Amino acid sequence: MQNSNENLLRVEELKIEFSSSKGPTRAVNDITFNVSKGETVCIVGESGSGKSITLLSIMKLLSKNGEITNGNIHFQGNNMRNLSNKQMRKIRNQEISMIFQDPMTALNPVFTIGYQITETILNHSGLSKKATHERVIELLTLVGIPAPKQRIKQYPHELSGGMRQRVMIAIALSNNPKLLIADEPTTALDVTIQSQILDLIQDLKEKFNMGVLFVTHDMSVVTEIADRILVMYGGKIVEEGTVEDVMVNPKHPYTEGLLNSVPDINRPDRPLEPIPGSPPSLDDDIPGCHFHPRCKYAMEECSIEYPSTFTIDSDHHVNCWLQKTGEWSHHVSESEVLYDSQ
Amino acid sequence: MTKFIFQRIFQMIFILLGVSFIVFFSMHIAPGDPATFIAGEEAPPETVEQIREDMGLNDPFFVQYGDYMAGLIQGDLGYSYQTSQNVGEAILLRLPNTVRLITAGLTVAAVLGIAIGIIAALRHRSWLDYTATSFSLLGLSIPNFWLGTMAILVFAVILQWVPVGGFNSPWFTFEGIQETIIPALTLGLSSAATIARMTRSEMLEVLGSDYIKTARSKGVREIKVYMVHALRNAMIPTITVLGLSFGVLMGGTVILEEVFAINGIGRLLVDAIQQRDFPMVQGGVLLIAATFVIINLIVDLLYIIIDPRISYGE
Ligand SMILES: Nc1ncnc2c1ncn2[C@@H]1O[C@H](COP(=O)(O)OP(=O)(O)OP(=O)(O)O)[C@@H](O)[C@H]1O
Ligand SMILES: [Mg+2]
Repeated sequence: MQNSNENLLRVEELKIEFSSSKGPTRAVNDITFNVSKGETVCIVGESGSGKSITLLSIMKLLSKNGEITNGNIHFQGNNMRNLSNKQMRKIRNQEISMIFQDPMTALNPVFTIGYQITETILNHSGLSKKATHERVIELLTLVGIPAPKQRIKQYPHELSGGMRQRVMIAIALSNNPKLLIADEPTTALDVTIQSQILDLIQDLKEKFNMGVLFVTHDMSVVTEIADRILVMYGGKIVEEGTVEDVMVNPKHPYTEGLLNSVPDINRPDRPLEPIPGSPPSLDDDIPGCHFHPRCKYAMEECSIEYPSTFTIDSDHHVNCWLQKTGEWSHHVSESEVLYDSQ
Repeated sequence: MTKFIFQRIFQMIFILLGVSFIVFFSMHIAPGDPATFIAGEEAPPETVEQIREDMGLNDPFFVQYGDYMAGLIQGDLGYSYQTSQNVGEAILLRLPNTVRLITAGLTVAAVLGIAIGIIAALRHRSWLDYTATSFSLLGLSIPNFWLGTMAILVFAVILQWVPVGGFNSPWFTFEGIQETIIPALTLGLSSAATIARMTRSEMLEVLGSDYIKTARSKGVREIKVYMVHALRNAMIPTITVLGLSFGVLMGGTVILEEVFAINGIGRLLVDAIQQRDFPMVQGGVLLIAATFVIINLIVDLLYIIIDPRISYGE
């Protein structure tokens, strides 16, 4: 855990809406969080919960029909909400870099690896040809690509998925960004490659003291890299806290559900329990807590009013009415009992 | 790569053999007797028969074909029935005009088509896009002989900006460009429309892809995102359309050379067919077929340059 309180990124009351023929739909609704220097924050949640568009909105890369309708995004104390595209260009890669889910499609197929890195460096600096070339080699070496001198002449299709993701990371690091944003960068890779890439990201984070904002829906990835977790459901953050707090002592039934739906090495005999039902669609207008139709602990008030934020301890917050009474606390065996007795 | 080119040239020989046979055969069974054309309507039957005998038209089909092929292998396309001119020479004489028309038409098609396609994609769903899309539809549905005739009427007869027809001045002179511009626009318009549609839809698709997002996230300028990252990818399928357009353009010249009174291969061919001038027809068709095959080869080679994922052979 990093104790430095230096806020790198602060997202405040962010709302994102998409306009469509049916009118606007709110994809992200009022989320607030911080990322500090040297800290890895993981956003977890099911498909469609708004993870990717939260990241894209930070980069101002939302598609044309998407818009930030409320809130602010501060980077190093400066509000980025009203930056022009030109000003944003200076921030991209120089201050904040992003890597994407599918390395197979994230690199341009018709340009060499060398070109794609060189271009990134030259976007932001006036390095000489020779210095740029050296920097490209340095970056490829940094991300663990063997024989970089040969690689720079190759095209993406000549590289494996893992190698391509390393190239993407090299591109992301080209201009020494202070914040790295990663949208499920390992989902498309097989397990061994996955952990290599995670290790690489962790190493680089420590080496350059970067903040990392990492989206995943894989709880085992979270355990491996996160300092803090944000659990998203239906466009809202429903629980947040340090990895220890949230993984060991989840307070939101949705978080509990996520944890129970993946195997736990410490308790191999625990039965897997998928969350029943499916995530809400943006068009569903669910009153109260979005999760209540799928929640096995749902109470009357859950369908009436959205739960307020309850503070478990200084860093651990949850939006769930179960905290109001203070009765409910996560316990796997107990939850089974509760479930049966309902 | 070299192997690929040789293979293709080898294939080309067979294609041309096939074409020559089909043309020879269809001329053979076509109604109308070249000998009558040469002798004239009033000539006595004996004269006609004598001419037939002299020209070898009474020989069995395969003997005639064999004779022709024997000449062809030595580069001899035979002599015109009508003017006794050497067919090869007659074609070479007309070739520059057709090359000029097609090159200019192809340039119009490519430049106009790609430019309109890009603009429409960049201004997706704006009035520019709708205008461009309507233009494409219009370009596709207007027959070029009608467009040509109207263009002559407006620009040559009424406005008198350009001559009525014919290529009489060298290519890159003011007069040369003046007399080329309207025929080229007329010829290239429908292909420009096809290419514009293709470029637009490809650009739109490519602009939605992940690597465009990557480019933007790297801080690449918008203009470079479009003109470098997107366009290069969008051009891959567009090149196929460009290759196909070439065939359309070649067909177009046959009609438009007539409309604009340009002495090119197309006109030569039309006249030759009307006069049952078999050797001339043969020569012209073979030339067109060979050009078509070569253009296809060039298109395939262009793919390698533009798309590194494609390699032939290796
Ligand atoms: N361009 C768009 N137009 C309209 N709606 C969109 C657009 N992009 C995303 N959405 C909607 O916003 C919601 C959140 O999408 P987002 O991509 O952020 O989900 P996610 O949490 O990243 O899911 P996944 O795990 O599948 O990547 C989804 O319901 C999606 O339908
Ligand atoms: Mg996503």
